[in-house]
Amino acid sequence: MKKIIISIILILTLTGCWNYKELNDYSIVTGIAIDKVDENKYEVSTLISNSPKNNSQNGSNESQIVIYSGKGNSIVNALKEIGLISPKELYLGSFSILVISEDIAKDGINNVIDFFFRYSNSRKNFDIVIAKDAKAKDAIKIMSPLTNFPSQNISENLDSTTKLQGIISKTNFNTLLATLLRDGISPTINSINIVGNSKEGEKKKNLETSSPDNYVKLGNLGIFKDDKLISWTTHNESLGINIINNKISEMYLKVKYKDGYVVIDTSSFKSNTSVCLKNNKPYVNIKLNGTARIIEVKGNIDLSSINVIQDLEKKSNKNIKKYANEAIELAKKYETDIFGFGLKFYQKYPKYFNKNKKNWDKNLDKLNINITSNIILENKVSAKNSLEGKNGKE
Amino acid sequence: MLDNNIEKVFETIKEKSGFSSDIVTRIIENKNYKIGYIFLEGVSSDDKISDFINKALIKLDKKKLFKNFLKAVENNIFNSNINSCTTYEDLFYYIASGFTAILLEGYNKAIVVETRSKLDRGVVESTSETIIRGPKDSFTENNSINLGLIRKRIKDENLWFKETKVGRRTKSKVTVAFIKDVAKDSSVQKILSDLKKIDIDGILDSGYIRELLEKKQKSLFPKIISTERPDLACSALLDGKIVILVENTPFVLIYPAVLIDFIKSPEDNYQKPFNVSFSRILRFICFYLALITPALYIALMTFNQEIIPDQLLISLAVQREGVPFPTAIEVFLFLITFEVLREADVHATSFSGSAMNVVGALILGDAAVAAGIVSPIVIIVVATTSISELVFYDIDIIDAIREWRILFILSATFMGIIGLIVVFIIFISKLSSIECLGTPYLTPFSPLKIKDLKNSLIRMNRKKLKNRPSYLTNNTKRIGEIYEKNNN
Repeated sequence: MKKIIISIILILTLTGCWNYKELNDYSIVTGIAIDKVDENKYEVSTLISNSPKNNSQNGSNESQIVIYSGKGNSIVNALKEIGLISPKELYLGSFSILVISEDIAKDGINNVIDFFFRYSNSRKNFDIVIAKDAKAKDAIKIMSPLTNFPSQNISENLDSTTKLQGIISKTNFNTLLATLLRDGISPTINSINIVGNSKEGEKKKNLETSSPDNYVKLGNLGIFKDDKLISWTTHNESLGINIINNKISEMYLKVKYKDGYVVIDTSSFKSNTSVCLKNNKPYVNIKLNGTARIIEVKGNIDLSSINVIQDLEKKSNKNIKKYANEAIELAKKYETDIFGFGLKFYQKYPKYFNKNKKNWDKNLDKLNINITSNIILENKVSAKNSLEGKNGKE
Repeated sequence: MLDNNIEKVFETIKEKSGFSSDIVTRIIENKNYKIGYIFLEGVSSDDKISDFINKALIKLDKKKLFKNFLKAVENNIFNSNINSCTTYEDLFYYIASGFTAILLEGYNKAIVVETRSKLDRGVVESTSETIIRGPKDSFTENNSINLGLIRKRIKDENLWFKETKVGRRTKSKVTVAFIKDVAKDSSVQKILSDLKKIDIDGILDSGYIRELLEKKQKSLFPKIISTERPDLACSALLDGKIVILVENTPFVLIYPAVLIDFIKSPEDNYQKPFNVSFSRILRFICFYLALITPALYIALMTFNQEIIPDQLLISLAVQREGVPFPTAIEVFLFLITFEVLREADVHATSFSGSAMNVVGALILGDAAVAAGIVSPIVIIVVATTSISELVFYDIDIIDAIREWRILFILSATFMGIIGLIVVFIIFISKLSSIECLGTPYLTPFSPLKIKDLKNSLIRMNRKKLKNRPSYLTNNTKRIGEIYEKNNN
């Protein structure tokens, strides 16, 4: 008992009130936006989400948001300036979204990522998007009537669309860091666009209408060379990149057939990339597998015929391959290995990769890339024929 | 030694007891003999005495008197419980227990006849351990009824009752009950010898015995179950445990107890095994909820906010806004309020109870939040804690949990999660260091006894519970061999 008492006293006196902080002494930051102002000056905006609504009754847990921005020649300086504005200590332990402006992305994001990696009070598990054609600050301003605060809007949107929408694949801080630290792979990050007017969007009025005119919308991928944004992609290219990178499990493909078309919905779509060396020549095999079902039909198409189904399968495989090829062409054009082929070679043939490391990106077109797509149309969904086809027969 | 003069004996007893008002004496005198009797008014039944003793003494057959007077008197009394005694001490003990002493002139020996009046409330439903299914009777304050309630259930000659008297003044009967060929002999001997060593002026309840039997090892957790349910006592006896019955209290003690016994409930024996397992696991979760919920809340709110999910964190932060006290004080304030309410509730009569409900639920809960003294989440935390602790039927374990909880809160207040873990380690090591009659407190988990796990956190089908707990007995076979074969 004596020992226990002594040890308790020691723990109490030696550690003190270690790291003690009441929750209401913090300004809880849920989103951060980093913009570039002037030359080499950062503007960091923090979205603070725990200020109580002044018109609400006591005990209600509704909150309103506040955005404070600070400018400085480094990210830390900018954050310190916010400290002068905010009455409470900034708490970066639970922010969920980081919006980086296009300018900074073009200059390189290494120092931004490095800061969040190094800063011990910061969370290490957040998503990153890049503001396209807009200030990053504006992207975290616009309120959505469906969520409590803008950062939640963006991060939940990323969560719900990744893997299901084709062009969206959320980029987590940890994966981005791993990508940046490795050779033979470059990151891709989704863009975020502002539709409407950001000045109007931050006002409460935006929430009061049933069809808000101002909102943020997730957009196509941006491709990076090392840590620098070099180009935005089109819808098809984004789709191709995500197909190869295995970031999709469900996507919708429109296949033209005769005078009409068929839309198929893939499920359990998977891509498998393998690399090999034959006669010291690099080969890349990309296998795309999955099943699909028909969800929309236009025109007189006889879905009960096996020939038609086989035809459709062929066409959809061709379409998928087309998307993938477009993405690969893009990578070759900008000489950046966004698919991580280099990493795969490094893992399998480290000596070969190290030898060719310097010019890896330039020599992407020397890779022999072989894409095989094998989508199986499985389920024709109850109705065999389209309604149009039925009418046609009668 | 008794005197052989009746008046002298009466005089001595009266003098010794300070001429207490409840002593009644009577002398019947005629030509041939002189007989006196003495009893205490309150504990003896007047009717019994006049019906069976008075009548018998008056109608004594004079012819037989000269041969063996004492024998003759004994044979003439219509009563099944007749003893004799020769010392004043014994004599007073008997009359205090409700006997009537018959004294004969010329003999220094008294005949004592049982004439107890009924001073107990009879066998009624248990009030402290209510169950939905199962026997409803409970022990009473009467020792012989209590023994009867056990004997009624176990009609085995191996069920032994060993009686000792404890207490210099109260001379209470303490009965140790056990099944001879099941209970460990060493444990029985140890309890009996420990009981004999007790030298105290009075025993009023089994709580006295429990405290006195507890050795050096001080622990907040109870090592003995006290129950007023005869069925629970009997199931303990069949397992090989030892039951101590104390006169004048309905609560008997069951020796030894391990932690898992407190997670079991009396009706677990009568429910379906699956349901029993479910509620035991629920109670086990509640055990930890009651222990650490407030401490965990404080630790998370003041030290380790990064663990809380984002949405919850913001909602908690907004709730905390405007609360003037630190989180720890807030929690303490409300826990103490709840304890006060509980303390008051125990002693509340039925008409003040409803007033307390209003004070407790409305004023302390709703109004405190509206006034901004506490945040709503604290009320949820305290409510969870206090509801969780109330699932246990044993009051001792509830108290033990309460005391450890305070320790947990203190550690979390100063050291956050780290402190919580430190105290938790102390808690576990403290628990595993407790032992009762050589049985470690965390049996059958530590030391691990796989066979005994069948009836611990889960209860398997009774057909599969072939053995008694091995830490209680060496005679573990519970199910007959032929029956076991037929059911496999």
